Amino acid sequence: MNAQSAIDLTAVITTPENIQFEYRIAGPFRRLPALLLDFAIRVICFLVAFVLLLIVGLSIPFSGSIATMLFLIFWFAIDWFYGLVFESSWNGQTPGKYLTKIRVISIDGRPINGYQATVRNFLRLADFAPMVSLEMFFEDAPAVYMVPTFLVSLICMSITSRFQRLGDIAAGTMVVVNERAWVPNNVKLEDPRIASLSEHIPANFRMSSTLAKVIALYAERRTRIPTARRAELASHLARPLLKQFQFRDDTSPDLLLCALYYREFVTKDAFVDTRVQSLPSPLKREAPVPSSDDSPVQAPISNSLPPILNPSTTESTATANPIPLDRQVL
Amino acid sequence: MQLDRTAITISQRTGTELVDLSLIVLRRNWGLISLHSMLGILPFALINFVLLWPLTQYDTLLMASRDFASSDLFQVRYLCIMTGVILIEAPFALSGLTYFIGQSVFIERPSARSVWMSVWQRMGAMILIVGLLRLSMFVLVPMIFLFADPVFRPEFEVPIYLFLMCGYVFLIRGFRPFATEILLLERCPLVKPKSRPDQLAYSLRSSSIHRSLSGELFGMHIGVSIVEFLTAVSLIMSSMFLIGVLTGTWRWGMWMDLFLFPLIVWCTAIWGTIIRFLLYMNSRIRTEGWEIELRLKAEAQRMEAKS
Repeated sequence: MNAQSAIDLTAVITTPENIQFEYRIAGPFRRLPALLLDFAIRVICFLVAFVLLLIVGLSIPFSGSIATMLFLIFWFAIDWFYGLVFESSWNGQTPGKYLTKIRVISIDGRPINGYQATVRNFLRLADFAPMVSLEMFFEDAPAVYMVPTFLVSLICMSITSRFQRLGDIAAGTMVVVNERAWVPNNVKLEDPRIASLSEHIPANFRMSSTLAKVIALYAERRTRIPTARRAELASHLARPLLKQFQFRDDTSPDLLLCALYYREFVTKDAFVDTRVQSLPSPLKREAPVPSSDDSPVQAPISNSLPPILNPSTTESTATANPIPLDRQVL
Repeated sequence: MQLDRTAITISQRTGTELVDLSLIVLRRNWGLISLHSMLGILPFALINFVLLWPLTQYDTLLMASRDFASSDLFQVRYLCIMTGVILIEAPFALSGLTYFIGQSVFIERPSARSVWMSVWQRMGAMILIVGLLRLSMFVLVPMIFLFADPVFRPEFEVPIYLFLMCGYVFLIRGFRPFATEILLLERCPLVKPKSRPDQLAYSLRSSSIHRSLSGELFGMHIGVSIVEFLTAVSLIMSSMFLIGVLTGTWRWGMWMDLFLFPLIVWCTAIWGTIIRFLLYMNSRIRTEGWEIELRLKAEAQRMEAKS
């Protein structure tokens, strides 16, 4: 598998100015709800038109045949021009695509034009093929080939890199997801020890771009991961970092990664807490020496902390450990 | 091995995206997927063919029957049993495929020998959990009875096949789908070994991965089952259309019962196995932050290599 690029649902488009855009491609099953929604909307339109024209046909003498003709024209128009009109005038979207947050674009990333919308919609019938006869299910049924199997479109989409059906290939279009990609933003860091710890990270430490991405991903996702698992995850990277920064071994891996995130991505003005000043250093050379009756060491940012504190009881300890690690909520 | 350079991009995805992704996995690796699937499927397909052959003698069965006047009923019975049997057998038969895909995420093209040796090492646990508790091998027992006496007795067959076996397997696979992945890829032992106290036993690991997502996994299972069913129907109808066009025969023949129908159901099962593996990856990403772990480990490796 590794011989080619990693398997993913993205397509990279490079503009003539050599700028790259990444799109998430919508495959056949991401597109299926849109197809069903558009089909349902068309059926509702047919039913409404049918009822209206039925009323007209029954109430006005000699208008029955005109009503039938109007209904057939309406049917033809809706069936063939529904997708065409919407996609060419609504930025590559039909109501079904709009609701399922997908849209059609050209393979070079530009919005589709009328010609492309026409070609891809007129070839829709070919994508339904092979159509099978009703005779296959009922012996007495007429030989009308009207049951779609969608096999042609499924095979076409499976073998093309952009999940293109026949109509898409002919028109040079593809369907992409219209949602914004995940951006590691708005991570709230409310634990005051994080800012304190970030102060002790060596000033000459520079993050690589991959490390910055990993730290951002961790900070964004950590609140959704159980505390024990969080510590386990963070410890993978924290071990070499603790060694490099010469921090105490019992420094919380989770807080260390948060401190790195804070240092790299958060401005100091965004975080103000007076308690930060009172926290002692996590550095090995400045660590407090435990006395014989102290157990465990009262480290500010360690894994081995006392259980959650009652603010009304031990005021002095609460200042040293404002929020115990195992109960922290960021 | 660079842990963050995986063959499938490790990120959180929706259900429909996973099904779409499975098509790309199939396209990129169709040769090896076919090979490992065929190696696993072949013995089961042969056994099914031999044991269910008597059920396809519709006219003979009709003549022996006093209660039923149409051979169509016997055909429907055969197709239902064949479908159920294949779907029950699939996790065991396709264990090699599961292992292959799991390894292919990190290692370039493991050889067929290494894949099947690794599966063989876990055969005991696989037989117990997937073969017997999840009925993949146990399903052969009622088939032997059917082979010995193929007369249709709906009062026994319908409850046994439809409600007990298929229903049980459908439910257990809906709520706890990742048995094969836990046994083969994570290599969890059935009992916690005394020598390695940190190693999780199968039951604990299964609980931890399935518990928090069981409702969602079951919903996904139903959705994927519907998609697989519709795809199988589409394939069957298309096959009939193509054969009708090419040969002029539009009727469902015996070759369809014996070869094409089982082949299509097995193909659907292969696709289902790939979807299940992707769902397993997605579940680990969501509940355990697996993609973060891989990236953190990779970054740690790079830092240690530098220092």
